[in-house]
Amino acid sequence: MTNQLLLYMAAVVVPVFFPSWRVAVLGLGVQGLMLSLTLLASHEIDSAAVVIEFVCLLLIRAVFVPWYLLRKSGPKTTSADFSLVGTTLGERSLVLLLLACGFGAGLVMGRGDAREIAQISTAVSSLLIGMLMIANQRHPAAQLVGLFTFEGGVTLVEMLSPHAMPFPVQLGVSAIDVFFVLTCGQYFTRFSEMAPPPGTTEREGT
Amino acid sequence: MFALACAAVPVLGAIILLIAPRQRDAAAKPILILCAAIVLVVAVATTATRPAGSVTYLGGQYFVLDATSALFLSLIAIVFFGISIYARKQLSNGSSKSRDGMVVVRALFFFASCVLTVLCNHLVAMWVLLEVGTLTIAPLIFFNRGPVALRASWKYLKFSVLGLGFNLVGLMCLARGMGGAHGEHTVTFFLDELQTLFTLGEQIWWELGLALMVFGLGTKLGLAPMYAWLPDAYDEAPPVVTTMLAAVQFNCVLLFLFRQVGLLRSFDPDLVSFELIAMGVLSIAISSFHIVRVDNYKRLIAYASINHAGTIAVGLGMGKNAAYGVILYVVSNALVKSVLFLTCGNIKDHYGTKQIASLRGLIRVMPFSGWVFMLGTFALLGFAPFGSFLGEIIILSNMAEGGYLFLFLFLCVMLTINLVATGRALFPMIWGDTPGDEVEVKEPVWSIASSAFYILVLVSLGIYTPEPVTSLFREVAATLDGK
Repeated sequence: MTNQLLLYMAAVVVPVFFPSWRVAVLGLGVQGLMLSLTLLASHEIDSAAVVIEFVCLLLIRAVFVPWYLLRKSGPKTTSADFSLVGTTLGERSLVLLLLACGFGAGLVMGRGDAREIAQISTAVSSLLIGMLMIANQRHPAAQLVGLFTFEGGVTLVEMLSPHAMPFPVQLGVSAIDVFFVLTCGQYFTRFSEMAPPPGTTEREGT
Repeated sequence: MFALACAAVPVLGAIILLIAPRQRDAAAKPILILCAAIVLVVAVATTATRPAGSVTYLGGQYFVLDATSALFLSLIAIVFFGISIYARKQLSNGSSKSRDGMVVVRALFFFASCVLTVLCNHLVAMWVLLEVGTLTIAPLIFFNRGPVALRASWKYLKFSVLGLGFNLVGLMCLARGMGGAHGEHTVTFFLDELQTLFTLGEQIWWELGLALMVFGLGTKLGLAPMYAWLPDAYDEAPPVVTTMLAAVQFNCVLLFLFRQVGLLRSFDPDLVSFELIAMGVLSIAISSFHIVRVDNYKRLIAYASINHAGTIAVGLGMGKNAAYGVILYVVSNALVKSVLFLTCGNIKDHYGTKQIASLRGLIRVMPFSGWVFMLGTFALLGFAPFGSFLGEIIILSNMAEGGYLFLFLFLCVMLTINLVATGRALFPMIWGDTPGDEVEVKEPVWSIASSAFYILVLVSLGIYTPEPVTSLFREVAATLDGK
């Protein structure tokens, strides 16, 4: 499971250092794939709710989200200066600092269990880096990647919790992912119609 | 089972509109009013015929009709019916009548999700339904409007997803703590089953869980520090949508918070008090600062909403005897927001501006809207004889009795600042001298009918509340202490 979590973290961090819309969307796909593999490694497939969650992570987060976002985005949506957290050394160092914070939280809350430390560290890092992307960037595309990174962290925390989710509720949670992506697609279309010419820098705190 | 019909009727209405695209725009408003009227009758009848103290499970174990769900069901049904009557005049800000059908479809789905949220007995299912409501209503904020509204809508969506995300993480942390305490016992999120677990488990997990749960819902309610979405979204949305956000969705989120606080206080009556009071005080301080300097009347009411959410959070944090005042204040708050935001739509329609400085003598130019706006402003400021006055007095008196003197003093100072700042901004707008060429406007009855009715209810809440309503309020107040 640690390998999946490492790859998940790489899919979060690499697009920060290689800022491009396609790399970011590919990163989201890899995140979805790793989340589904982590679920397989940490849970027994013994109920319909777990099956639904696995299928949702694999088909929706790993395949549908990247495909739909690439389909909906146009040249105006993702300008040439696209970036997830900014391009200065300070902004990029902040990502590494948040990774360290996530690891610290894992050490404190993981009770010495290596698997739990890895999962909590990854979850907290993902939540924090996702929030940084949302707060640091004004570009809707970058913020959307931040929202999905944040959601990835939420999913990892969900996997840690020993809860039983009834089938209809799990189905609802999965349907929300699809509904969310489709709604974001509407925003993408409108932002494309109203966006300033490509090349205009849009970076400010929210 | 009739309570679930309150969700089925709007869904049915929306489906009828979806399968008849040619008649959609023409039939939209009548269907909206019909659905809202049926829901109102069923909701009020269900609440009135519910035996005191009874808890009925519906749809398996997934839904529950208890005092809290009955009160909130009736409240949102009353508000939604008022919105539907007002919508006869305008829906999507009058910019295009040809898209009314889709606005109504979304509004009906949104309302159905709100009804199910109110009736839900499963915490994660409530979370799902709140997400559905958010995703349904978010596009209506920018429907047929420009880039500023689009940005406001996007901001609303971002903050909502973050807030609800934090809440879900909090719930999972709580479950992690509880599960660990019971030897990796599997936790269900059914409210009635959670109440049978008599320990919160590992401290580090439940403390983190509580903080994140309150912070997340605080974000969704527009409490500081994550309040930035609220003024933009309320200001930019059409009046019908603003009212749905401020008086329908706000109360669903509040009910979600009540359920969580009630659950936690069954373990320890003082849990989350500090967090709620801290967020409430910060919200009141920040919103008061904005109210002093704002120059847009709709935005001013939006900041007053943050202020009122802060007062509710402080009252909820106080617990015990303040709980009755909180319930009265919550009900009054929903009606005050409906009155003011709907009337703002009338004013904006006539004057074409939201700038306070551009408006004078409202009560002479638009007598009906002017009077309703004036009375709504009095209720907003907590004047007697409105229910908001009584709610505020109960919260303040319990604050003083409970020894929270610094908090009492702080709230009194903030109330005074708000009174002066709001009065200085809005009173000249209502009573100031009109320019010579302004003539009196004839306003359609339905544009102020619902607001006028809400004013009567607000006065009734302050002067005389019928015994069944009072006992319902008492029953809901008792659940806030985890009883």
